[in-house]
Amino acid sequence: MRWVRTDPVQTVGAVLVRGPGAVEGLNRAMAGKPAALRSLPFARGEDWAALFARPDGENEPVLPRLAGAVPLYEALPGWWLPVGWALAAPDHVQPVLWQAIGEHYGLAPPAIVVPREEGDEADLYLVRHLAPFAREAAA
Amino acid sequence: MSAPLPVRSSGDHAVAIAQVNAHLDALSARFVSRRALLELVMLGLIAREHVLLIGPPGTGKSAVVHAIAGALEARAFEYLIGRFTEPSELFGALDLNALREGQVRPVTAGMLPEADVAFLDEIFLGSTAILNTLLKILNERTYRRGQFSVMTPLISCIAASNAMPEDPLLAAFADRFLMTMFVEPVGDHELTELMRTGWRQTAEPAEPIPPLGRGVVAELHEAALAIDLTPIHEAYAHVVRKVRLVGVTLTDRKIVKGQTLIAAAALLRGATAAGPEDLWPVTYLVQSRAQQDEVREVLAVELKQSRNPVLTNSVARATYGPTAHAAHLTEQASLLLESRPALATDSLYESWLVRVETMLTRIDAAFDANTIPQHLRAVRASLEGLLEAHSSGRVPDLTAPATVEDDEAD
Repeated sequence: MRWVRTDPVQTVGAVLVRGPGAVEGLNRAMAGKPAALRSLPFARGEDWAALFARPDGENEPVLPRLAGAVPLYEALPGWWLPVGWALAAPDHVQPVLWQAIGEHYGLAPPAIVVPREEGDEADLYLVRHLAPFAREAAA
Repeated sequence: MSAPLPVRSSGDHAVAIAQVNAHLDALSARFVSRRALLELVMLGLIAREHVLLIGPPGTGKSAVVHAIAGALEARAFEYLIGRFTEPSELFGALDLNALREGQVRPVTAGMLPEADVAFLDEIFLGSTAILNTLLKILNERTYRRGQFSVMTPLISCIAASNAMPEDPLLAAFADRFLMTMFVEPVGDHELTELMRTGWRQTAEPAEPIPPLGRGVVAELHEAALAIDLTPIHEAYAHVVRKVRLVGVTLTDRKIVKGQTLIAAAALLRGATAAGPEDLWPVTYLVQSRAQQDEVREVLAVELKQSRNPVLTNSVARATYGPTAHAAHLTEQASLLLESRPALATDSLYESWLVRVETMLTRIDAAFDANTIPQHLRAVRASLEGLLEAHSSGRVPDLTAPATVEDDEAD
């Protein structure tokens, strides 16, 4: 699979924090943030954590500002990519390709795919459980 | 006009397309950030349509057109029009010998009626007599003076002005130019390159570029007329309907002629039939800078597949790219600043701060300190300042209106 750089004009819908201590770092960064942000859908793995945007009342979806976090957009429902990256394929074949990726690796969305700077490989983060950050992060 | 070529595939024109591409490469290497302008003029030449360049003085409009005209195997006519320019300065003075015999016949040798390519600077300063005569040349490729009438070989007229005219009559004249490009000064991040290029050319004038053959442009024009537009008629109609929704009026003439640009774009993409990749020239049919931005935004989905290996920069400028995104973010961020609740104790204030934080996340996802445009940088600094003031417990001056600050904190 090939990934290409694009203009970073996609709508940010989630943020990803990676690396050892990602969850702890996110906990610290979110301390003192308003309830609207602390209740956002949250997913975590061994060395990563992600927050997904959600409308705040009648306003547009909201997200926190986190230093070093990777801004993500939803390339297709359930498939998240970093802003400024895309699957190198014409639009009309993208749904089929994403489905093929899932079937090939035996996984189902939602999933976060982060292409590596060099080569065609990407890191995959499977979102298996979503719950409000304030309830889940401390667990 | 010759009949379309029904049997040749675009592959037959690969050499001509490659020549155009190489020519654009050579020309754009002499300028900084002017590839899109060069491409659009080239598209106009191939489509045999006229191009209007709007932008402040000193942005290289004349230099670029002069370079293109000089690197084309064609008779070029260039003129800077002023309020007192006489029609004879453009179209030729009367032939006195003919006049003695009672005939009105201008001497057109070396003048606009005999030019293949015309560049008219400050076009809207022309008198009514000049503009009326030009109208006939632009529309019908015919120069008429009294009973004297002659077909002109004009391929394309490129006109320039500092601003779009507000006078409705002049605006109607401007509509005869199928494509409009708004030319901006070189961006901050390219200033060093601008200086380097300018200095190099001052010290060592560039070698002339071998001219692009007249036959190449003619061949591609004929080939463009053979492009199958059937696959995009519905999509083009849909695009025009969406453009109308944002209040942009495209005349029927422009809508029809726009197909020539789509066909030429498809040809330069190497296709024999137009596809969704080739609809992007529609952005350049719009003659207002603000409306071009709106159109880019409203057609973000329809123009998403836009692609052209030769006209790379004009495609990028026609579609929803960083420039339109920055304009969109600037507008939204400015509205957010204006909607700041008057009191920090207001129950809506926290919700407003969350929206500020979201906006900063969106801005920082798209631009870094080197790429962020000046306007957005200023609005971003204001938002960041307010957020930091709140976080540090400082009380922002809530009696003052929220305005864009000039500092450039990042």
